[in-house]
Amino acid sequence: MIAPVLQTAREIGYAATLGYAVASFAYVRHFIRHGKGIGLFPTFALCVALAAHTAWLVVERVGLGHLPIARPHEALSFVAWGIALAYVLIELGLGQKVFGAFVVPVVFLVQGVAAGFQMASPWPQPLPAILQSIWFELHVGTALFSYCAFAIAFAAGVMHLLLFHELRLKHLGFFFARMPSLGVLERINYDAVALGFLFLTIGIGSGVVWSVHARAGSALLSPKEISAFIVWLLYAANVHMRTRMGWRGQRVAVFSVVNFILLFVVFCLTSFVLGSHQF
Amino acid sequence: MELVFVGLNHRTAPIEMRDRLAIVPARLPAALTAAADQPGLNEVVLLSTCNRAEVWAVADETRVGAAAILAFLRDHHGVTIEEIEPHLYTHVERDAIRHMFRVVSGLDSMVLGEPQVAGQVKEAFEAARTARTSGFLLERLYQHALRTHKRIRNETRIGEGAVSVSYVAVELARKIFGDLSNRRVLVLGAGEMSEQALLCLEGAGARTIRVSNRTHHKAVELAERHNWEAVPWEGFPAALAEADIVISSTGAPHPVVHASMVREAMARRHNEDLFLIDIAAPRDVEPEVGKLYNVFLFNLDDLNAIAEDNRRQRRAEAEAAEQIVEAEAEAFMNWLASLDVKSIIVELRSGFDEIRRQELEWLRSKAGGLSEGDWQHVEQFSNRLMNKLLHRPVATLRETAVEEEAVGLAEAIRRLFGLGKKPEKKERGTANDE
Repeated sequence: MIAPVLQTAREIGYAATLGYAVASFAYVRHFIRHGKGIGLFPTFALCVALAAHTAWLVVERVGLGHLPIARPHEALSFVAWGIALAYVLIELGLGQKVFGAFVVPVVFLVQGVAAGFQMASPWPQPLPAILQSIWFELHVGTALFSYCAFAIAFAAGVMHLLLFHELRLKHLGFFFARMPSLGVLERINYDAVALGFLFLTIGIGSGVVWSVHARAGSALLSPKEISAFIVWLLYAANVHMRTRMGWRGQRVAVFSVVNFILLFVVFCLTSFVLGSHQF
Repeated sequence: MELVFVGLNHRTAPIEMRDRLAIVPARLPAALTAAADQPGLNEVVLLSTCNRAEVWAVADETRVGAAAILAFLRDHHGVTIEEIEPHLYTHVERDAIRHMFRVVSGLDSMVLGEPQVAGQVKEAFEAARTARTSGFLLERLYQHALRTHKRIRNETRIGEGAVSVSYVAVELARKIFGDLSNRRVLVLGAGEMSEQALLCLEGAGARTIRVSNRTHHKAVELAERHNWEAVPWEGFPAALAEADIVISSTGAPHPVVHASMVREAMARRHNEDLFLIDIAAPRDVEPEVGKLYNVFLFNLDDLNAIAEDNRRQRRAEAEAAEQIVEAEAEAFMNWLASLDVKSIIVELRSGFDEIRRQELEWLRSKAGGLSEGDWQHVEQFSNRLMNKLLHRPVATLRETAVEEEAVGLAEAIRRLFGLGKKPEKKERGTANDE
């Protein structure tokens, strides 16, 4: 009954993937050419892709009756959408596209993987009764938003390290000419981690509350739950180091990059290997 | 009307000579009037900067114009022609066009690609406009020079990368901190070098500038001159914690900023980035400082190396810029040539003549029964008709004396009759005319 709507959603999703590919190419090209040439095209391409992606989200939400975040590839696609949206807002605030050369390819990569899995996946079954609740959308939605923020922090961290490296070696070249200042990158990293940590805390907190209600407190120690807690601890340490221990600059950048890599590994392990929540 | 530019610059003349030909802004209007009063000069713009003194003019004839400019220089600056002539260069026509494009774009400057000269040329033109000595041709050329400058800015990197030590320091500070407007600067040593670097940083927005010197009254003097704050020498290690950018240029024989001091300062400032610029020789800051967490240390050699790298990059970009200048000079020459009244008349005639012949051919194919004598009449008729039709426009073109009006007419005629689209047509026209 719902299949035709979801078929449309799939096609829109593929179109968005293609749009991100074009936008990634445009942003990287803009970066390498140092902003000479067509200045508005990268942003235009990204906005078109993001619009298509938003349409996908809306159609899926209507077709499924809940946000498309229940299955791994849906969650990935949702994360890609969140990163793209966050980036567009950052570009508006920053007034430059340099950051896009590092973020938009990540969006394309995440969305590309999601689209690949989607092609191979069967049509969704109705959600188990336990997930048919507003708590589900709150819990998973906020957790995924935190991943988006951490991905932004990751990109800012990578850029910070590249620029820092050139400054410390006193060999000013490719990145020095193109990057925003260390101060700006640190600010983005800081804000993104703080926001992400807030979302993650809400996500895990709501998950715990919901789980206590729905399952009467049982089965809280599956790999998914343990790894979520580890990720939370890592980012808690990140926030602690910078607010209490005076960590700045390079160390914080390294921390955010490593944190995100671990998060990614953990997400893939629990989603595709160890298995997600057990009900 | 011919373009004649005469001048000297940092490459052709020593500073004493440049100073003698320099004109302060207040005296520019009088100088412009004096130059424009020279017989044979129709338009004059005077450019006077620390590195060059030039007279840009439009003259009736090249040699007369050059002589008139020399006479102006001699009379107005009280120099003899013998003493200045070896230092002068003269550019006419295409060279003059190219020269203005190169000057405006910073290709002829001491610091390759520097942007200030464009502003100085703008002021020179404004002064000439006020004094009513600039005219149609120089103004058009200037507009084209601005376009060329813009193209070079957009298409090459000639203006990128700081090439002086002070600006390299500012560029580095911007890359580390971003906006400099809330940044605090501490200076050790009250010498000229520190003052220069400070003024650059202040120009870039830095506030709260503090000066510390071993001889305190010198620090106070410098601070009072610029409304900065003086810190006693004993207080500078403590002040390190409150500064984001530290410039050191004392004359001390041994380092005065030790790693232990900076380490302590970093702890007190919670490891906020610290940018140390050591422009003293011998060095003021211990090299170990550069290895401390979140400390960026650059000494004079580092800054010089960066400036040299940037200079090299600018030189590499200069070639592309010169090609743009060449192409734009060509475009301006073509436009100039298209305004030549004689060639317009020739083209106009040959265009009409072409139509006349075609129509005669057509008539010959249609009306076969005409005698040779009749044909002569027909030919005569067609010639007379063509000449009568062309008489008024050609006469008007020849009579128009005001340049601006003539250019308007020339451009209108070219557009209305579709002239000058094919260059070979022009050559055939010339042959017909003879």
